[in-house]
Amino acid sequence: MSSSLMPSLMIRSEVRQKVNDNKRGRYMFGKKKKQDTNLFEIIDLEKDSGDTVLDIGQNETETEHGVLIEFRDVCKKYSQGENEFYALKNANLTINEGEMVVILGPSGAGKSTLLNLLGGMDSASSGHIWFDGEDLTTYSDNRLTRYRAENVGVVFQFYNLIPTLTAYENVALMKDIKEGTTDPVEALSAVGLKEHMHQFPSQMSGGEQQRTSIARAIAKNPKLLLCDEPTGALDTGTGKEVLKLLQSMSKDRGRTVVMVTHNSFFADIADTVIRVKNGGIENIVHNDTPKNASEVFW
Amino acid sequence: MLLRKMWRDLMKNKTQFISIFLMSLLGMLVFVGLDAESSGAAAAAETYYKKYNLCDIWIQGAGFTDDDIRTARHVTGVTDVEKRLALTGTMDVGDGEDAFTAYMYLNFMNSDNINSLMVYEGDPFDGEGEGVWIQEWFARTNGIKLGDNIKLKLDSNVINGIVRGIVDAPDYVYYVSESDVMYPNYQKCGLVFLPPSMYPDPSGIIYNQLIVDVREDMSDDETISVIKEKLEAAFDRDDIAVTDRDQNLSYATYDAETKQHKAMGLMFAAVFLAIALLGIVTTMARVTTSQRTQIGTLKALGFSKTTITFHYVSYGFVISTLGCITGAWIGYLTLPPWILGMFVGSYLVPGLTGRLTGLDIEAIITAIIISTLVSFLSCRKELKDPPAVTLKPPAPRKVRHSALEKSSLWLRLDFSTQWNIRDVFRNKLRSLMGIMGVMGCSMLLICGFGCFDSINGLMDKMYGELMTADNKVLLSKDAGYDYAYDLASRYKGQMIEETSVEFVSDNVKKSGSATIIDKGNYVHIQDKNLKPVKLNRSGIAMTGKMAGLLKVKEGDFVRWHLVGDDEWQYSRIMQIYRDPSVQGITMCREVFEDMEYSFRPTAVLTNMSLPADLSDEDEVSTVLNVADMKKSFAETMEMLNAMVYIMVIAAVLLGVVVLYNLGVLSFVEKTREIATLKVLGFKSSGIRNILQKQNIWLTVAGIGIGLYTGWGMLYVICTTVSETLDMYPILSVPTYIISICGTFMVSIGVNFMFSGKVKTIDMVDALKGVE
Repeated sequence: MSSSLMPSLMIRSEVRQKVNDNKRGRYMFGKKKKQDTNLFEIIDLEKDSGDTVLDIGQNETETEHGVLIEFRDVCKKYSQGENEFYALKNANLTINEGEMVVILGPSGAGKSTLLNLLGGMDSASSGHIWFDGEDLTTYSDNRLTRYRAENVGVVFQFYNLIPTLTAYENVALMKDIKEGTTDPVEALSAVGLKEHMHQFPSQMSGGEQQRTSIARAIAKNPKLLLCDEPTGALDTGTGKEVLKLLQSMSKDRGRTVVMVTHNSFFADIADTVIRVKNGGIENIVHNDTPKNASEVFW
Repeated sequence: MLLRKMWRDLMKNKTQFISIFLMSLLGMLVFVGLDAESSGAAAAAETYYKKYNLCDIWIQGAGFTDDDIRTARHVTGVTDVEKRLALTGTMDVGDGEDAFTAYMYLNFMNSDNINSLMVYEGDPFDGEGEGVWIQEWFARTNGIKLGDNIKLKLDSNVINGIVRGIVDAPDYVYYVSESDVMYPNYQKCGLVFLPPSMYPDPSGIIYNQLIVDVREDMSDDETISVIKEKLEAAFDRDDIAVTDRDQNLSYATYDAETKQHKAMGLMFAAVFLAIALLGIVTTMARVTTSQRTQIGTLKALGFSKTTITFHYVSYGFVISTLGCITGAWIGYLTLPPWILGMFVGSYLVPGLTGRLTGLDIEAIITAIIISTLVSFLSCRKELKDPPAVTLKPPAPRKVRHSALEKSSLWLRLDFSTQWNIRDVFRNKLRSLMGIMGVMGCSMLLICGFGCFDSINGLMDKMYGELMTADNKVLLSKDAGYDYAYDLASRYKGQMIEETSVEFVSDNVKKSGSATIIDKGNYVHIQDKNLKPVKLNRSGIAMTGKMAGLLKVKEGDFVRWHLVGDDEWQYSRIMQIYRDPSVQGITMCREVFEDMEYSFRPTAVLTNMSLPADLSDEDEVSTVLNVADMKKSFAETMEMLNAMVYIMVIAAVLLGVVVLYNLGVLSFVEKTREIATLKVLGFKSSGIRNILQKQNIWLTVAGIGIGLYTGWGMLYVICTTVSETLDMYPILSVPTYIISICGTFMVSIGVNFMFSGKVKTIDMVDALKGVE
């Protein structure tokens, strides 16, 4: 397990204190507030010591979390000629702000459909999806695009970086679609890739590419970070680093992280686990004491 | 950032984009170049005609008096009328070896308010005084200076005059002597303007031409023809011919030339731009297909459809804009000076420069819009679906088995044939582009070399099949029938009379010529299929082109009269024949004399060698030697050569660029397949043969179509040359061989370059990466 991939993990109470202040401020005083720019300033402060500090300390359960997403009787139907096929049937769920959610299920169970609907990458056939009090199912294509641009960050299994753009440029691309994005250098520093930022995807390892992809996703300061099998194409060691990073996004920066995976070991690190089976929600389990990502083995 | 992505994508696919760039560049280069050239030429002439007041109507006849001028002036719309005596004579130029007899156009006139002379040097024209105003090119090339004393021969008279002016005239921007056929030689054929006092018998001068100026606001085609009719009615004489600018050789030839250049520019541009568009379609389709996941990612990240569409459409937009504008710019800077430079020897129009027109701008904008639209259409399909769909690999293409694949024949084909058939049919656009490129290449070669063939064929026909004598002795007005008869019997010659006539049928009126032939064996005619036929001994024969213009056919009647004679004839057309350079009628001397005309030979044809001093005789105006004429003709074909060069260069460029692009496209697409074949144990040379096989099919198909379209293009060029020329497209065997082999060489050569890359494909690498 190469520890060089990750910045050294130091717990500094003052950092945590600020993070928590930040979280509270956001949760209490309205949702439109520009998020998290403070965080990177904090991380910048740490740069002098040569390492980027990410706080992945003990979980502090936030009881005052509001509801970010709610699914009500959501169906996704595909028709092929006369055959109808439900990829998702009558799904009901709620996701709270700042939660780390893992959606678990075997291949073809409907996880990806769920993720696509959450991310506004597909539209539901029936039912309602509320995000921050607005119904996504009433959105037009353009409105849905704006929703994606403003609220959602996506991390793909195969990273999906633009091969003709460098890591820096891939992140900087976000400036084209949203105002007030994080500076790409900061975002890349946050994932420990400052050194490699002028490399093209083809010159980077899978882990580096996935971290670039995470940097790209968080640079937008999205309310919702969606991850589709983020470790699926990575070896265990690298996968764990990525997992830690994602967990810290939720825990330390108060981001809502939703991760889709077929790997049930990941359930341990989540605040909420949604199990999907045959196009329906099997159960939703809240985990009061999620494990630290570094403690998970698979 | 998307701009940066675009730039890198362009660099990554640079071969294809460069070829699109080159095609739009070439298309625009030729179009704008030729259009700017022809527009500039037309504009220069327009300015020239206006400034020097080119007349609108000519009235030719046996004699005009001042009363006639008054009559003409009274017609509504006519602002001014002047009289002229236009004759032809000769002038001996140079000394010793280089000495020759120049063919001269003489114009006697007492003023030049209409068809004013443009004076380069010397005095303005002086109708009251004495002296000679001589054409600039002729004077310059023959070393004639202001103040020189020159001797002009007019029939048996000699006119001695001092050169008082070096000039050009708007009604003589193009003129040819009898021997020049169609390409002028202004060194050998001169033009002079003289006051009436210079005429050998000043008091007995009879003018044979009235030139009429029409009010500017009435000089449109329709009003002009109304005025022409009124003039005819006012004169009420049958011995005159009223013609307008379109029937004037100088004006019409120049006009046709500029129009032809414009048309050719359009044709070229159409071919190149069509190929550029095909290039855009195939390339953009390839780019967007291969970037499907990227498109999905961009969508998922929240880029709007408009932004993504805009991004991909801008590839086509940027490339075609760059190509079109660069092409237009280069075309404008290079072609007009080059071609107009050659105009200088052919047309006497001052101030020739290229000129950009609104049409050029429109063409550029249209080309860019079409290219952009095409790139929009070709990437639209990847943009339609929601990101969840686009992120996934595309559903496999529906594969249909063609009828051929189902037939029993299919199984008997070898693997490479099956593979290639499938490949061709499943990449129809790409195959079409290949065929188009090859077609364009062979078409331009065929057409280019065909121009040579046709011109040479024209000469061979005129002086090898239709007129078989070695020498043609042109007689002057002094020569009577007896002189001609003596000459003909002395040199075993054949007497002919060539004269001008005017034809009328229903509402069409045309000027043409009549050829009357005496007994002999030097003049032949050919029917419309170019088969030799015997001239009908009982009536007149008319050229197919003239019959077409008059809208008559064999068996119809036509009214005609000799210019200078008011006796109208009403004759049945007994025969239709074809002549490349002279349009009108031909008849036997007996038929002519039956109409109670007297036969007045204007030339004697003979195969015998003639004494050198024959042309010194007063009765002889010029002795033409066919071999010399052919030779000098070949030397004056610069303009044609230039056109052919353009076509050949364009052909090769087109072939190379399109096939190179095609090669890159198919090679990139087939890399995995080729790697698979290699893994299976195919030899590199075997794979090369498979690739070459498809290339050969496409090349053969392209050449096949190119032969047809090339012939069509040649046909269009030949038939639009001018009203008086009836050129037939001729393609010689060497042209076929050169065009076909040339195209093949280009095609196979380019393909060879690509198939050489088969060796360099790394099997492991090619098969590893799953995009």
